[in-house]
Parts: sequence; C-alpha cells; structure tokens
Amino acid sequence: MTSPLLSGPQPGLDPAEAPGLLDRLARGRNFRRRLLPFLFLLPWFVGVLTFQAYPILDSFYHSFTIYDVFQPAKWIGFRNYVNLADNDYTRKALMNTLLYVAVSVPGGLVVGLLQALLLNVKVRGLPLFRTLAIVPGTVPVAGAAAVFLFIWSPNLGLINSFLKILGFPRGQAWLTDPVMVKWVFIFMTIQGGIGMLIFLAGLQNVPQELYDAAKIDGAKSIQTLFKVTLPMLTPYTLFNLLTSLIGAFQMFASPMLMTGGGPAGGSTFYGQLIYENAFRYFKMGHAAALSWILFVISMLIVFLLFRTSASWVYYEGGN
Amino acid sequence: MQKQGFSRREFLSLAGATGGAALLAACQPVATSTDGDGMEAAMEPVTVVVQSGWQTSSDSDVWTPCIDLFHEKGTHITIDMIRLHVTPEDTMTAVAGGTAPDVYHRYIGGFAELMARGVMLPLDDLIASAKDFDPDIYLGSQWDNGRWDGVTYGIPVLEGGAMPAICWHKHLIEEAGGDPEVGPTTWTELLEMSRALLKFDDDGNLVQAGYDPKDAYGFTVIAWPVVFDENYISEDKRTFQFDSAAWAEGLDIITQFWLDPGIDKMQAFADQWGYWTGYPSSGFNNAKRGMIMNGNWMPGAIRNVVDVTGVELDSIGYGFHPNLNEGLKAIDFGTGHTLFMPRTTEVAEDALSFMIHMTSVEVGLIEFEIRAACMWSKPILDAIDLSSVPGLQWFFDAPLEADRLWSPNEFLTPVQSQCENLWTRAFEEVTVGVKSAEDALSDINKELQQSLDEYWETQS
Repeated sequence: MTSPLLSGPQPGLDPAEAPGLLDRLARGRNFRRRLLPFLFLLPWFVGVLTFQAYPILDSFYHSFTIYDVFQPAKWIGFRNYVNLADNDYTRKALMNTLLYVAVSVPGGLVVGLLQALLLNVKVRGLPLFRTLAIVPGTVPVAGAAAVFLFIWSPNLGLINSFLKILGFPRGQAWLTDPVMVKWVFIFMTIQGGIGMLIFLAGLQNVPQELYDAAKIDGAKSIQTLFKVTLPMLTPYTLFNLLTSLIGAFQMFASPMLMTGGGPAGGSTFYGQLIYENAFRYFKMGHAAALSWILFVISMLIVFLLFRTSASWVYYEGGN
Repeated sequence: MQKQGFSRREFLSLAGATGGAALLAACQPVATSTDGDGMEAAMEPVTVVVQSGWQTSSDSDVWTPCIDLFHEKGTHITIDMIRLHVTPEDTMTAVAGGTAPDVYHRYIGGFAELMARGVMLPLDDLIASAKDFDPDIYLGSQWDNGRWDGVTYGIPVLEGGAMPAICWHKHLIEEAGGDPEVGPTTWTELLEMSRALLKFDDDGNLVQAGYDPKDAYGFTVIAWPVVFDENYISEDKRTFQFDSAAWAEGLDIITQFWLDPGIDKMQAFADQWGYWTGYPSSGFNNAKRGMIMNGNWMPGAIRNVVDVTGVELDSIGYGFHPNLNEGLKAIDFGTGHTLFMPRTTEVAEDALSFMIHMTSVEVGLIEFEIRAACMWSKPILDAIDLSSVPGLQWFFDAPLEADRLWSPNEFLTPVQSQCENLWTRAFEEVTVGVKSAEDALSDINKELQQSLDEYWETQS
C-alpha cells in the first residue's frame, strides 16, 4: 500500500510543490540506498587502488627507468628490457623456471588427483589418512627447507644413506650439481597439497547416479575413471592448473633458502632474480622489467588455457 | 654584493657550535642546584635504537656490558638494542619505509652501496662539533671504513685491524711435510699441503681438509685483491677489473682446492664442519681443516672454544698469506666493523654520543676480555696486553712488516652486494666446470660494469 505521505498533498503544503519535494526526498533515499553498497565496497576499492593498481602501474613506469628507491628515477626507455634480453643469466633463470613449470605443474596435478582418488575410497581411518596427507602442505617453507637440506645432504643425508643400503655408491651430489639441483626442487614440490583437497571436494560432488548408470552399462573401473570421474573433475582441474601455474612461476623461497640459487645458477629461478635485482642490487628498474616480462609470459599461458578450456572443461550447469 | 642568509655549511657549523655549546652547558656540574633541575636532568629522555646481529648472545655478547657502561654514565640517553642480523636489503626497506633504527652496526662490505646512495647520514659536521672524539686515534686506515667519496658516514668500532693471514695447525703442516713454524709461503705450497692433508673415510667422505678458499674470511670478495695483488675496481671506482690475467689465475688456483677432493665432498664437509670461527663447530678450530685465511680475531676465536675443541692457542701458526706476486707481504690494514646512522634518524646527536662511547678504551677492554679482539686505536693498544693471547702479536706486527698495506676503501663499490654475489657465481661456475675462469670473470665483469655505469649515470 502506498504511503499517504507520498500519494497526496499534505495540509500546510503548497499542492503544486509538495509532490516535488517528496519526490526529491524519495529520490534522495533511493540514491542513498543505491550508494550504500558502494560505500561498503569503498575500503576494498581503496585497498585495491593503493596496494595493487598503483604499484602495478608504478612498476610499469619504473621498468623504463634506472631507480634505486633513494634517488629520483631516470628515464632510459627500453634499455632495461634490451639488457635483460642480452643477459645469459636471465635466460638461464627463465629456462629453469619454464622447466620447473612444465614438469612440476602437471606432476603436482597427477599426484594430487591420485591422492584424492585414494582418499575418496571409504576405508577405516579415512579422516586420519586425509589429515596425514595434508600435513606436509602446512609445514612452513623455512622449516621444510631445513629438513630437505638434511635429506639431500651428500654426506649425512637420508637419501644417500638409503641409496647406500640399496647398494648404490654413496655421496650423490644432489645440491652441488647444477643440472641435478633443478630436479631436486622439482621433485620436492610435486605433492598433492591444496590441489588434492580441491580434487577431493570435486570427487565428492560427482553425482552418484552417474556411477550407477555407468555400472548398469557395464563400465569397468578404469572406464568409469576416464569417462565419468575425470570429465566431471575438469572444472577443478582447470582451477588447480591455473593456481599451480601462477604459483610455479613465482617459485622462490625453497631454492633461496637451500642453495641461494646455486651452484652456478643451477637453481636460480625467475622470482629470485627479481628479488635480487630489487632488494640486493637496488636495481628496481631491472626488477620491474623482469616482473613485466614474467607477467606477460604468465598471461599468455593463462589466456591460452582459457581459450582452450571450452573444449575440455565440462560444467554440469553449462559452459 | 653582500651575501644574504646562511649557506648550508654555515648553518650546519652554527648549529654544530650551538649544539656543542648546549652539550657543554649540559655537562656543567649541577651540584649548585639542590632541587635537581640541572641541564642534564632537564633534558628530555631520549631512546636511541641500535641494531646488530653480531656477538649479541650468551657468552659472546659484547653489547650488553657496553650498553650498561653507557647507561652508568647517567646521560639522558637510553639504548634500545635490536639483536637482529643487519643486511643491506632490510636496511634499505626500513629506511625507505621510515622504520629504521637510529644506529646500524655492520662490517663495511655490506654497507658500501648504502653510503654511496645516500641512505646513510653524513657525519662530518656532527663529528666536527663533537667533543672528546678525535678520529686520529685510529691506527692504519681503519677510519676509511665509514667513508665514501670523501664523506664520512660511519664510525669504526669494535673489531678491526690486520687481515688476512694464513693460519695453520702446526702439527698438520708437519704432517703435510711443511715447516710448522713457517707454514705455506706460496700458492703452490699451499695447494700441495692442502692435497696432502685430505683424508677420506671408508665411504669416501672427506673427514679432514687442507685449505678452503670459502672458509672464514674468504667468503667475501674483498679478501682476494690482497692475495691476488690486484684490485677488482679501478681507483676512480668507475671500472671493474675482474677480467684481468691475475684474477683468472687466482680463480683457477682457488677453485682447485674444491676440485681436488670433489665439490660434493667439500660441500658435505663444510656442512658438517662450519666456516665461521666464532662457532665451536668451526672446522679450523677443531683441527679438521689444516689451514685458513683469517683476520686478527683468529687467536681470540681459538681461545674462546679451547674448552670444547682442546686445541691450544700456541699450536697455531700465523704468517702472511701466499700472494700471486710471490714473496709479497700484503695485508689489508683496517677493514672492520662500523656504526652508521640512517638518514631517517631524528636523534643524530644522541646517537653519535653512543657511537663515540663505543670507540672508548673501556669498550675496547670489554671486547678484548670477551673476544681477544678489538678496534685498533692508539689508546686501546696502549691499554691491552697482547702477550696474554698467543698469536695476537703477529697481527699487530704485520702492518710494520708488510710490503703493501691495503685500505678498506680500496675495495668498496657502489654495487658491492652484486659484486659479492657475482664473485660467488664465478667461483661456482668454474668449480662445476660450466665456464673457464676467464669466461666466468669476463661475464661477471660485463654485468657489474653495466650496474656501475648505471650508478654513475644517476650521479651525474
């Protein structure tokens, strides 16, 4: 029911003006109502502008400058980009990173999926197994790095000691060989982790009717896996793929703590190069240019993934 | 034409003189005032925050007694100590973010670029107006530790003096066929003795090493110009010179010490028997390594762990480190520890009075008592008994016997951290065999020169 205040002239008010005033008041209330959500969004928006948009644009500008934080930036055009392209060490770090991404991302997805499939089987003590599976992912990187240093140590390390028991010669140079060391870090990071949890959640969302129908049709387990489970998990796979890709391009902490990027740049990943240029060498311009190169590479890969996702990702509710 | 106003120098001089007068006034006896409202009592309490991660804990804590002594002097200044390792990167971010302490303690190599980039506060005017402080107390070129381009940014305190020496375990040198009182005198001898001392267990693990160029003082690039007899940076600080024949020859030699036992064996050994001689687990302190390149703190380091290691001080020999210029006796006279103020400090005068306190004889005696090492100043040298620590006398005599004395300032570059990192990379590239010494040094020289040119570009 319409309020009498809004529907008709009121005593003491000029009949010609009263509706206009009320309209304006109503419009004011509507405006405030429309404004309110934006006010709630304002803190987030200010945060994004201040801590994300501004630094991103600022880094783009500084990628064309010499800048050490303490003195005014000096514009040098594309020189940072040209110098980086000409630098062997940058290429080496980029190749290390691409190798790491190319192996660890699919490896992590497969391990995560296999772990999720195992942990989706109804057995006794399932909550315990699920907890144990996620525990390694909760260990802080610094702590894990210290433990892994011990594990890979050529002299006292667990792996070499184990290999010796199996009859292999002791003293394999895991961290002092520039080729081997890359694979150590790749191997270290291939684990289920959060991706496994997401796959597990996805598995529990696959409708039971589909499995029942497959069973009635006489599908074997392996056929059910490839024809029902995996297609139904593709949205989760896409999500895991994207997040692990972005994470892998940012590989930094473990090699920094364990080998400092050595030996001879064997474990220098792109993130370390950015860090060293920015904070150790005071070359913010170089670091910004490195970051933008990484951003462009990552964006290209993510773009390709999205472009192709329509052909391999199945959404139950339609694409 | 009559000059209007003050120049910056005149203003600072006047401010310094006024500050000095105020300090003098503050130091007047307050006995005439029975109600306790003397100048010192009237001065606002000030807290000076000092950060250091060196000698800050347990038995080796140098700072606590020095700060207590300062507080006992009864000034209005309280020292708040942050016991945290100081790095150029965290200093840079703290200064940029306005959260830096008032005083940083750091050995010189790590702060060269911060001085060069104006992150640190110039101290010349403050020092000129400070009473009871005379930079001439320093021996040798120690004062150069805190200077860049003619400007003083830091005051040398605590450990400093002659380095590096070759230090050896006499019984191991004898075992390797050398003279235990003379030690190795050439690089060839050093290499041969080192090879002779390598011992492996049945599993092939290295259990005794000879010499490791990365040990103790050798970790830093500033150790090597002295023993290669050639600097890596030109005198005007505009050209890197890593791509020289001397450096290639030197790098080839020092990588050989890792190639002989095998780099994985050497790394595993280093993991087990650490480098830093301040720790009881140091390989040299435990006679697991035969020889080491180290500085004037070595006798004190040995003394402090004798209860753990059982290695006596007089079983160690000291001599001039073998030099590529064979027979040359060369040392760096003065590289050591320094106190700096970041340009963000708001209590510069108060911080300076603490810095000056840290150069005092009392502080020197405290450090000498704890570490058998100290800042090399004339008054401190007069106050300590060198004969109480076998081996120490050699370091104090070395500057008198040396043919070539290096100054810490000769090694400094405005891109020092990158220089350290890339030198390590060149060493690794040669040891793992991915590059020859010439190529590795040529590559890092090119990269460093680019950074150096950029630095000078921003200065013009």
